[in-house]
Order: sequence, then structure tokens, then C-alpha cells
Amino acid sequence: MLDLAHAARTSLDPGLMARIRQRGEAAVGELRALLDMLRAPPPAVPPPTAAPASAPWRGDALTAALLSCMVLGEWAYGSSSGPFPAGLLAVTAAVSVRRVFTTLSSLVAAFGFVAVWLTSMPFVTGPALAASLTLITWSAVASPSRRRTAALLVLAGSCLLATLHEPDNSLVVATSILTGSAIGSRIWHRLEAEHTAARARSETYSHRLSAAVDEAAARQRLDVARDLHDVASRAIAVMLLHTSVAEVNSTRDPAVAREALDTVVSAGDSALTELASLDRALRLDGAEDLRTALAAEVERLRAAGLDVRLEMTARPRDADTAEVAWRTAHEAMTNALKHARGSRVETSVHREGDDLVVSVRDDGAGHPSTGTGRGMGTGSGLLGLTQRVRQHGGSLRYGPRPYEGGTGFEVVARLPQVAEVPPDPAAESLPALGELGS
Amino acid sequence: MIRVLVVDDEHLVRTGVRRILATDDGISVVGEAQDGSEAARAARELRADLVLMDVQMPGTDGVDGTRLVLRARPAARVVMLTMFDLDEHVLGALRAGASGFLLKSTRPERLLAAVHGVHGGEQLFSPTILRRLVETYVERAPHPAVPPALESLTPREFEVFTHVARGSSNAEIAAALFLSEATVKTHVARILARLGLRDRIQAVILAYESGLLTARGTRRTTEHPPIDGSR
Repeated sequence: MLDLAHAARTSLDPGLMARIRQRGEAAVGELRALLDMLRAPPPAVPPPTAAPASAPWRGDALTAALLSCMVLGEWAYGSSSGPFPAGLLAVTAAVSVRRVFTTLSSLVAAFGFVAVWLTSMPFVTGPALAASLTLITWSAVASPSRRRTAALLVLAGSCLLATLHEPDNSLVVATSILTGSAIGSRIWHRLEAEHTAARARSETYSHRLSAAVDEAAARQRLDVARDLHDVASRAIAVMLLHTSVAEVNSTRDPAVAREALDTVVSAGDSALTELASLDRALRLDGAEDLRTALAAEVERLRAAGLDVRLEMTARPRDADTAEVAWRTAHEAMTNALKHARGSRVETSVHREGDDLVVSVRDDGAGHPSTGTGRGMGTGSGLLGLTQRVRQHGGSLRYGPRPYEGGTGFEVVARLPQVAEVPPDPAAESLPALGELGS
Repeated sequence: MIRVLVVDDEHLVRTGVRRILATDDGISVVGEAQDGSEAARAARELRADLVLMDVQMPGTDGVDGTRLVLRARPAARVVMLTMFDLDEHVLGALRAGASGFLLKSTRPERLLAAVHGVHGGEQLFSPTILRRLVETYVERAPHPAVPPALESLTPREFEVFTHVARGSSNAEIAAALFLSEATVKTHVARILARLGLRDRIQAVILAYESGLLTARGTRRTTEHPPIDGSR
């Protein structure tokens, strides 16, 4: 667009102007697409969901079958063959439903023990029986309820009843199994519950963290979108409108047409400078980059004949602060170059208390944006900057100020060095992070 | 002579618009303003006929500005000057009473024609664009119901209203309803007055917002108010 405008300036050729317009319209389309893309919401992260519980009954059925086989094996090949061990098999079979129908499992096992007692059947298979009793008790205590506890007590009673025919130590063994298993299960399940809760909390926190990161990224993208809009679309609007002015005046008033094309060129130039600054701001990675960027800016002003002094005694803590600091300095220094009639500019980056202060002062004769009229988009530049600085939690002050007898202009940004975390309303529903460790 | 007020925060945009308008002998730019509230003051003091207003401005933006201008000077018409078409801000301005919108990339001769057109009471853009705009940005009521204001229309007026809301011109409505164009014109004027609408654009927005029209522009037959012979 710019080269075309340069060419059109001398020839005032309608064809060239039409091409400028075409380029401008294409740029509008691209800007629009870019803005839409930047404004698109980030994909939503689904909140963590509990993993579906695996079916526990298969393993239990297998265990029950194994224990039953042990009972049958001992009965068939063991030393003391007796009547069919129906009661013992009822106890081992009860293991299969210990987690699915816990109460039923306890009652079936209790029934088995009563049968053992009635038939005076000896405890031929101690290990299988002990294992069954342990497993059933374990499950019955896992998540206690009144019904389950009652069923467990029935089981314990019948088991102790069945031991009456046995040698004395059987009673002790059975009691030990019952109490040991119950207590062990209780402790185990409590620990597991705590572990699960802790994991759920940590998942919630990590989800919330990633949501916060996404939100911050979206906000950042919106900032970029706004900056792009501010700089590029304003420039293109001005360029297109003044191309129109040139078009309608190319024969009517060539002087006005040339002036309009001058405006097209200068608007394009200043947009390019601003976009370069924006690009630089987005790439700033810390204090050293800021120093380099400022030094380059100082050179730019010096090349234009200004007497610039740069003093940097403090450094921004992070890239974001560096970006805002850079944009403040750049905007103010560009304004000094554009508007200030003075020849001296003092730029300083220093620390005041906990704040990083960026100030740019010149000895020029005031500033267009303080008067009734406004300069070349300067007012909106400082307004946009005010917004950006506020977003960062800082404050921006600008206006005329006495300078060595005359009236200069100053821009001062005060940026907090310590980032404040905004309060999260959802935080109340969850324990503080510190509680996770306990 | 059409008295025009140019409102934009960007000095160079105002100059550009002013210079384009200056080439037309029927148009006189009576003033400039930097934001909506300043525009309202200027519109009243300078007795502007037409206000060309940017949508996004620091201070009072174009949407609030439209409202303020129309309150301060009801005789004026407001046209939004925007960078992009189909913008949600543009819709807000139309709802606030703006008569249309023009792109900053509009060719100069079309800009001038549009100023004359709006001043003469014409609609600024095609019904298709308007429908696209409304379909994109108006949130339709989840349970469409005829707004009470519409109940006050006679069945005939209601019929005309649905045609207006679909973006039909007077001639098209006349052909569809077997009426003379003059009758349609009278109907439309009475409907707009009764509904307190500024122009046909607001009629379209009302119809979509109330859910009277679906996305395809067809009427929901079930929502027709009871036909009352006494009316």
C-alpha cells in the first residue's frame, strides 16, 4: 500500500489509487479474520471425572472357587473323610459375593457355620476357612452400615458356635481372625479413602490451574487482538479514507489529493513503527531485552536530533512487567519525538518502594493531547496505554510539568513488582492448598 | 443542504470524512466531535441532520452516543461509521436507533450517495445484510412469544409487520398482500409509530429478538395473536 501511495502521490493516477483501495480492503479482510481467530474462546477443559469402578465380583468368584476346591480336595483325599462338607462349602461360596452383596455374604457364611455346628463337622480345612472368614469380614467392615454390622455379628456368633466342637485353640484362632481382619480392614479403608480424597483434590487443583492458565492465555490473546485492532485497523481506516479523499480530489484539487496521499503514507509509516514496537513488546523476555530495546529507542530519537538521556537503575521482575515498561517508554518517547518542540528527553527506569517506575520527561512546550485538539492519534495512544498499565495493576500519569523554566511534558508509569493473585470465589468450597499435605 | 456532524476519536478519520463530504455541494459538515457525549451536545447546538459516528471510541462509545444524540436531537439520523461489517457493536447501535452503517472502506461516491439516501429516509443496506447481521448477533428468546406491543396491531398490520421484518420493500409487500403501495406505506408508518420504532431496521430486530421470525426468516404460525374480528 505504501509504495503505491508514494507512486500515486506524484502521478495522481486513479488506477494506482484504486489499487491502494483494493490492498486496503484486502487488509481489512485479513484483520477481521485475525481478530475473529484471536477472539475465539479456547477449547474448554472437561473437569476431572471419577474413574469407573472395575467389577469386583469376577476375582471374588475365582477366589471362592479356589477355596471350595481346597475344601473338597481335603474332604476327598484328606485323612479324615466324613459326611459331605456342605456347611464349609457354603462359607467358601459366600466369598464370591462378599463385595457385591456384602450382607448376604455374611449371612450365607453364618448359615454355613451353623450347619457345621449342627453336623458336628470337623474343621478339616483350616486355611480355606480362615481365608474365607478373613475376606468376608474384611468386606463387611469396608464401608460399615447398620445392616452389615448386624450380619457380621451373626457371622461372628455362628463361627464361634462352630468352634465349640474343635480343639480349644480354634476359638482363639477364630476370634483373632475376626477381630484382626475387622481392625485391619477399617484402617486400610480409611487410609484408602484419604488417599482418594487427596488425589481428587489434587486433580481439581491441577484442573483449576490449567483452566486459569487457559484463561490467562485467552486474555493475553485478547490483549494482542486489541492492540492489533488499535494500531492496524486505525491506520488502515485512515489510509482508506484519505485514499478516497485523493480519489475525489485528483482532478478537482490536486493539492488536497497530494496532501491526502501524504497522510496515507505517514499513517502507514507510523503504523509500521507501532507494529514493530508491538512485536518487540511481545518478544521482550526480561530486563536485558528492555535495556536493549530502550537503547535502540534512544538511538532513534538521537538520530532525529533530540538530546536523550537514559537511566536504568532498576529492572523489571518478569517479561510482562518488561512489556508494559517498554510500551510506556516507547509511547512517551515517540510522542516526544512527534510533538514536543523541545530537544531534551529524559527517560528513567527506577525503583520506588516496591514499584518499578518508568518516566519520560521532555522540555517541550506542552503536549497536543492536553489542549482541546488532539494530535496524530496521540490521545488514543495514551488512553490505550493507561488501560494496559491498569491491567497490569499499575497507574499511569501524564501531563505538562515545569522543566527548567519552560513547560515540558511527562509520562510516569508506576508498575507493581509483586504480582497480585486475584481472589478466587471457588476457593472457598475447597480446602486450602496447605491442607493437602496434612 | 444536509448538515452533517462527524464523530470519531481519530483526528485523521474526521479530516478524511470531512474532505470527502466537502466535495458534495448538497452536504455541509457543520462540526466534529471526539466521542458520543460530545456528539450529542454538538448535534443539538449545530442542529445536525445527520451524524456519522464511529462505533468504538474512548469515553462515550458509538452505541451510547447514538442514544444520546437521538435524545438530544430527535430529528437527527445517526449512521455508524465502522471498520468491519457485521459487528456486534453495530447491532447495538442499530438497536439504539442508528439508521444504518457504512464501512470506512466505502467508496467516496457511495458514501455521498448514502448520506443523501439516509437523509431522504431510505434504508441504508440490503435486507440480506441486515438479516445476516441479526441472525449472527441477536440472541433469540428461548421460548418465543409475541411481545405485548405486537398484540396492539390489527391482524392486517401484523401481517404487514412480518413482511417488514423479513426485509421486504413496500412494493414487495404491496404485491404480496394485493394492496396499493400507498396503503402499505400508511400501514408501515402507523405500525412503526404504534410500536415506538424508529425505522424498519428496528422492526427487524424486534421481530428476531422476540423470536417471531426464525433464522430462515419464516414466520412462526403458532405465534400469531388471536384474530379478533372486533379490531
